[in-house]
Amino acid sequence: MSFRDEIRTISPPWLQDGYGERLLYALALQVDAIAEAARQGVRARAPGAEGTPSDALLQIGRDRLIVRGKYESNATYSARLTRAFEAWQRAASLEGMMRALQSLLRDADTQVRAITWWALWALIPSWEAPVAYEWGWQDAWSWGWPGPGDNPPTYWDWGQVYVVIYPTTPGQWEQATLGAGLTLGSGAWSVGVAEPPEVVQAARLVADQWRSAATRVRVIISWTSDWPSHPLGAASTYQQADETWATNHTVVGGTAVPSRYLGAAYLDPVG
Amino acid sequence: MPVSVTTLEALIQTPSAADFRASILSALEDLGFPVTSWETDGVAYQIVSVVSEQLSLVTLVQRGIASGGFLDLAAALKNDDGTDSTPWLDLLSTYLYAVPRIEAAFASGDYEVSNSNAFAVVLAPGDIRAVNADGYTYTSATGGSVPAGGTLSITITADQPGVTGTAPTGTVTIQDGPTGLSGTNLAAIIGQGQEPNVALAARCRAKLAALSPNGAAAAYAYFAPQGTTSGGAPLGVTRTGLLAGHYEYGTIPTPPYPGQVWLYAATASGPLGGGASPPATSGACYELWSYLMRWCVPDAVRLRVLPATVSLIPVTATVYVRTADIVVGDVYAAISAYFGSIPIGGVRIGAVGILPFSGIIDAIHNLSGSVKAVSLTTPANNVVLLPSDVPALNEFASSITIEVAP
Repeated sequence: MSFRDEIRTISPPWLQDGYGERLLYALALQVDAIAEAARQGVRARAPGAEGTPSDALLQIGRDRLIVRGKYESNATYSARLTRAFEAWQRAASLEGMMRALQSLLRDADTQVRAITWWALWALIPSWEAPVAYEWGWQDAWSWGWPGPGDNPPTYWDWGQVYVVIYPTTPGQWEQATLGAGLTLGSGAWSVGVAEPPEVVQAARLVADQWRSAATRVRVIISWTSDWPSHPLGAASTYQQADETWATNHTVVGGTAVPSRYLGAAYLDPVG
Repeated sequence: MPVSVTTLEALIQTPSAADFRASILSALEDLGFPVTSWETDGVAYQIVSVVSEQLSLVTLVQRGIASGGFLDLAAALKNDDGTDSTPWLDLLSTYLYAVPRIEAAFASGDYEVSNSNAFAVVLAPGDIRAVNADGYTYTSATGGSVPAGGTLSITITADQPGVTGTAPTGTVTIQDGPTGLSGTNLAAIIGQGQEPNVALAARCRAKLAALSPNGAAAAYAYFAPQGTTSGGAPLGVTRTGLLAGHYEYGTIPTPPYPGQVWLYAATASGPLGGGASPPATSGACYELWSYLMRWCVPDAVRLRVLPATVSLIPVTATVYVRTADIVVGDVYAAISAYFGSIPIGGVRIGAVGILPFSGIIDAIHNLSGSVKAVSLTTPANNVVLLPSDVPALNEFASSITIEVAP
């Protein structure tokens, strides 16, 4: 029942037809519009509800501190917003932070890995897959990743957690290097990764929001899907995340290789 | 104003009476009324105009309904006089986030009492009544013996909550007390009003991190402003800054070390009192430490609460006003209040924290509608702050000139 219909039924007979009816109809039309706006105003705060204005999702996301992914659909984002309070109960856990980053950068099944300073390797291989944990290190002097916390065989940035985001499609995190036509501020690329600066900044923001207060987090965007791999993998995977972990080179098979793996972009740490 | 499924942006608009009148007249024309020939002072046109005025007012309620579900939109609602409109945000913060608004607090500060008598004077709490330049009063909260010809530092507390307790340095005098005593406040006293909408919305967001038992960084920022003494008295923390411990190979280890969290804390007046805790086992920093240990610090984390470091900043400015409705003390108070709102470590611009140069000008400009222009000489640019710094006005090195320029 609308106000336009209702106003006729409550009017005296001499206003139920002719000019009187039409005059009241025109006035009630405005009241109907206001009532509809109020109804939509209430529905707007419910992500995913029928008739929720799409721009309301942005506001809900700001309220619930859920940053929308570049590739995320309304439906996927609405589902995440609906579960935001549940998700925040896992904040400051390794998994909570990894899933927040996975959601931000998801375009298919983004694989995310975290490596803690006490040699715990965690991997979320695909969307909503359980976390696979491993604990290991190489007993070799060229090993650049963390060792066991109570007897470090090598060097690492104590207190720091590394989160690696892998590409799911070739070229997704294409390397962007200045030169060859690419200049600072040109295109939609950040230095080091083929994504606009706001995506890179969002990754740091999310890591900062979801990290434990006691850890510093460095996000690494890997351009290849096989680095870093299993902690007990081949010697070629010994290469470290960055130069803060060791000297500027290590020796692998008698050959000096850079400490910093050159196939990834290293974002400034947060914390 | 017919509405289909629309945008949130459209739902928070308030169509004017003229918009409604045009819409009604258009509808009437479609229904066969000769509206173009109506006299504007005729009965029909006037009925439409009066109803349009009423409908326009109703949309203010409708805007509140739409805005009231969102923190930023509810926080942006204003009363007619430009002050924060609180009801919609209070509903949201209280019943969705369970974060009630922090009410106005009683300003408190150090007060130096001088004794011109040839004998010592013993003061009990409540013996001194003081007054600021605006006529608002304070009562001494502590006491002690003021030696003959000497001084004693006591604490005074405003008799009324809120910003009326704010007083620039040297502007609070004794109104009532033992003969031969005079007094002054050697630092500005900052009163804290009811929590502004923007700050309340920020705490609601920080509450999300507090849902986790794992000690997320933002959880510390949420709990610290609610910190109380063991007796339940508010500590008045308004700003926090957090540092996570880590150690980089090849560097000389410096604290905070891995597994440690350092939290710098400040009130609106300046650094939180008391020494860093641990090792301190009393004082405001210790009280906050023990409060946070109760709420958000996991067992394996070593928390240390430290007073923020005061960074004294002089200001030199000329304020051009249409009429002489403000005095220099008002400008100092506005700048002090602005400094009191800057987060510890400053406003982050990339990796650097700053005290924004432009914010000082805004704070002075917003003092009165009669301010025409502000010429700021010092600081001449943004001031870079360290992670532990809170800015404070260095009044002794500052100079404010007010010029009437009709």
